[in-house]
Amino acid sequence: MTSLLLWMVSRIILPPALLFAAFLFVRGHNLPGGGFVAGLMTAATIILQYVATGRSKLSEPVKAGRLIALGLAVATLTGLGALVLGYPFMTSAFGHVEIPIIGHVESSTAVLFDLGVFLVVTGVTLTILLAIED
Amino acid sequence: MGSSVALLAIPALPLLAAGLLPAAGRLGARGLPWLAAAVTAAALALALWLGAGILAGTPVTVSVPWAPATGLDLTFLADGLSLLFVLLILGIGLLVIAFARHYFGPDEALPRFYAELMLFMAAMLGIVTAGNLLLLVVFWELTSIASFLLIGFWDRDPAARAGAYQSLIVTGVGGLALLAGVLVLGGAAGTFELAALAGRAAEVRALPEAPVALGLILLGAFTKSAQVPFHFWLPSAMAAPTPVSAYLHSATMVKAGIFLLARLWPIFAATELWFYAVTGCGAATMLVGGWTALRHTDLKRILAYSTVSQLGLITMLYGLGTEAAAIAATFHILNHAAFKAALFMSAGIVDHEAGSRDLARLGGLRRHLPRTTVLVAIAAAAMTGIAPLNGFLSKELFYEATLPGHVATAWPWLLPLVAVAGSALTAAYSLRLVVGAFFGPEGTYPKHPHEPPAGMRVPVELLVALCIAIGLAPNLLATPLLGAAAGAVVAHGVHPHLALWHGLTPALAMSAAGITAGTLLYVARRRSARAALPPRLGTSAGEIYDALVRGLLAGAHGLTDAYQTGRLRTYVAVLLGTVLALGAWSARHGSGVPVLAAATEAPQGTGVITLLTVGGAASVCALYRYRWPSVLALALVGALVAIFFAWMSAPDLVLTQLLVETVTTILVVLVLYFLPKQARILEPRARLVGDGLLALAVGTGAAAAIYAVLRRPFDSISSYHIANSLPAGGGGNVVNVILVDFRGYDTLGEITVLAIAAVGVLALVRAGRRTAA
Repeated sequence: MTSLLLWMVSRIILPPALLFAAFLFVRGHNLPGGGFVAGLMTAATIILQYVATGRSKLSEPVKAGRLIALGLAVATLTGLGALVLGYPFMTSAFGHVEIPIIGHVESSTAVLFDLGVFLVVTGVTLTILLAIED
Repeated sequence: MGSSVALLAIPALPLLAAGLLPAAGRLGARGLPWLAAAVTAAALALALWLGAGILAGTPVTVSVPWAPATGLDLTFLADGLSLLFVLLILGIGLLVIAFARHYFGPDEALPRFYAELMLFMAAMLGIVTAGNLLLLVVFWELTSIASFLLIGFWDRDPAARAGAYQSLIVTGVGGLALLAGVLVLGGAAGTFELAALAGRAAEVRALPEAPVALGLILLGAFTKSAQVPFHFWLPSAMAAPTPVSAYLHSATMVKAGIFLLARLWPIFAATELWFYAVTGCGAATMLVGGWTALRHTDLKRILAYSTVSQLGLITMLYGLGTEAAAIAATFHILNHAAFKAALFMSAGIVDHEAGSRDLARLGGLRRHLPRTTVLVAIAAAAMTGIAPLNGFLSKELFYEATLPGHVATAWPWLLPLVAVAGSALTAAYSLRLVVGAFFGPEGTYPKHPHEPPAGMRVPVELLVALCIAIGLAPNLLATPLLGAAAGAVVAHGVHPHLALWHGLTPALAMSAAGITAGTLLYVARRRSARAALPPRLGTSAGEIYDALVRGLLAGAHGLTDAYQTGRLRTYVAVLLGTVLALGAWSARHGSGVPVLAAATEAPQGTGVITLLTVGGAASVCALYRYRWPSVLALALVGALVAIFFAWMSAPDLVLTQLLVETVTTILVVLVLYFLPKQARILEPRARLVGDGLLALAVGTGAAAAIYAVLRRPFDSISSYHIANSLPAGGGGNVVNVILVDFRGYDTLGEITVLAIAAVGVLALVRAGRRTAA
């Protein structure tokens, strides 16, 4: 089911959509957004490419299954990181760092955990949709 | 500080190696064993370094909080008992790795093998150094999984797969029982820490829940250590490669149950339930295992049943509950590991060299494998308990512990008689093994045998040398470790006396009687009928297990067939009907459906309009008779609900709802695209009416349930989250902070479930495609 219109739109929309997903992820800790939503956004964007172009014509930059494994590993290792420092599993920490040009940035281990959530959600959504589309 | 880091590193090193080995495939058949051996040797060096302090009487403990709220802490504890097991696991592990290097051909999946072996080693080390019962259960389950993978290593062999499944199911069920028992015990006693439980042993024993907890825990220990009637999985597991059998099924994993008995000894050994259950089960296992070993002709199966029998002996000793018996049991753990690992590796050598393990095809191997013959004969003699080998010493202690002076029972002659009978069976099957394979007329070997490469022989030689050395100089080699280990079991200092010559004691007489009776049994059986095997003992436990599994599968199949019609409508109806029934039941038995009252916050203006549009779109979706407009209407419902959320000022929900709706719509479109083309939905009116009524009932019920929840007065925890989000979680978005921080555990669980669901969908879609193709 390819149509020229859909194809064009999907091409144009790809960069801003992925950028928007990244934006959602980064602002997640303080404003609406976060790993879950960003993951869905990314998966929906990629799926749109597949639907518009046909899967066989696209190269597969990452295997969806790998994303799931990587995400679970990132989330678990973040939790385990607290153990190494002598705190209970999943204890979070946060601090504020100054980055040149960007300025004052607040960072937290929970963001790393959120990255795991993002990867798993992206991977799972892609896996399920591609399995059915295949 | 240094010692606690060393203690944590002992299980952590092999675990790390297990993670890295699959990626180290390019090291090849020569490099991989070296890597595995280096890790094992490093852990062994740490253990020896720690051992000096432990033998001096200071156990090492280290505790890291894990989930303190549930009583699960990463408490590791290394006392004498742990040290004995750690040295066995790492020492024999090292020999097994050396043996496996020559056993496997270069085209086997070696990275996987060594990774699984390291995983198993880490899990086993975790069990024996765990200071918290919940932690012990975690490692316990990990050994079951690793054992499943290792038994099924040759995954193209149906026997290997069947054996792997059987061991997983049997030890898995036992693991569940153990978990239940540990939860009951910890819940009643208020702690899962082993040291705290042992410190209040008398109080814990007197708890009303103690018998239930003990029964469940024993079930776990008995399944793991292959005690009757759960022993049948161990011979089935012999489909594993021989290094696995030598490691898991002689020296380590099957000893995990024994280890648990030893760990709980100070808490429970004084109870009657312990005495009768553990002694009885152990004695029965010793006799059944010994008898069945005489019935088989496969070398590895004979050794498997022999292991069952010897494990029974150790279990029986721990069951007796006396200090002397505990010392004997602990000593026999060490000795059995040495001679049984040697025997298993020798069986591997025979298989490797002669191409068969069947006594019917073997015989006369001593002419081709003279050195192996000597090694096997010594190891078997140690197992039989012949002086001056290590087995003789522990057998003497065993006999002594069963004598009436040491343990009081209603029939004082019963235990010594059982002990002698068990030893007679051991002597008989050991003779049969050695004579049958290595002496007598030449067999019909599939391969021409010659002595194995040094790499396969040296591990056996080292183990046999250990058997002899411990026998000759027990006080130099074994007493310090045994004293520390047995002292940890009985929870006070002990001073074992080991000597080859005790004088003309009853134990010596029993030793002689056992060996003589065994020899007579062997000779009599050879005379009567060379080929005939002794009669079997009733229905085998394995057959009962098979029947149970078949019944379970048939039942599950029938139940599934009843509601899995393959029609989506049936599934939806079953799901919704169940929800409705449960809701109705809880409304009846709960606080009841609340009386309708004016909602506190009725939607106004835009909200009302949005809700009305939602209703309209939903009606279009339900009433329209064409597929595509229905799908679009459904998507519209989702989008409108998102707008309603926006009106309620919940931006996170809006985002999530919109994206979930998008992805779901894509999913539905994809599914419909691949379904058979059918433009108009044609259904009988009666069915439509029925479905409609069900939908109406569920919708009304859901609305009532939400209303009931909203009307219930409760203290909202939102204020806590809102107040603490920024100071404790460092984030201004409360929803996100809850997800990734405050309730991070839940989220971790949820993403794990998501991953499992994805794997499930993938498997189902692929399976469906295969059947369709």
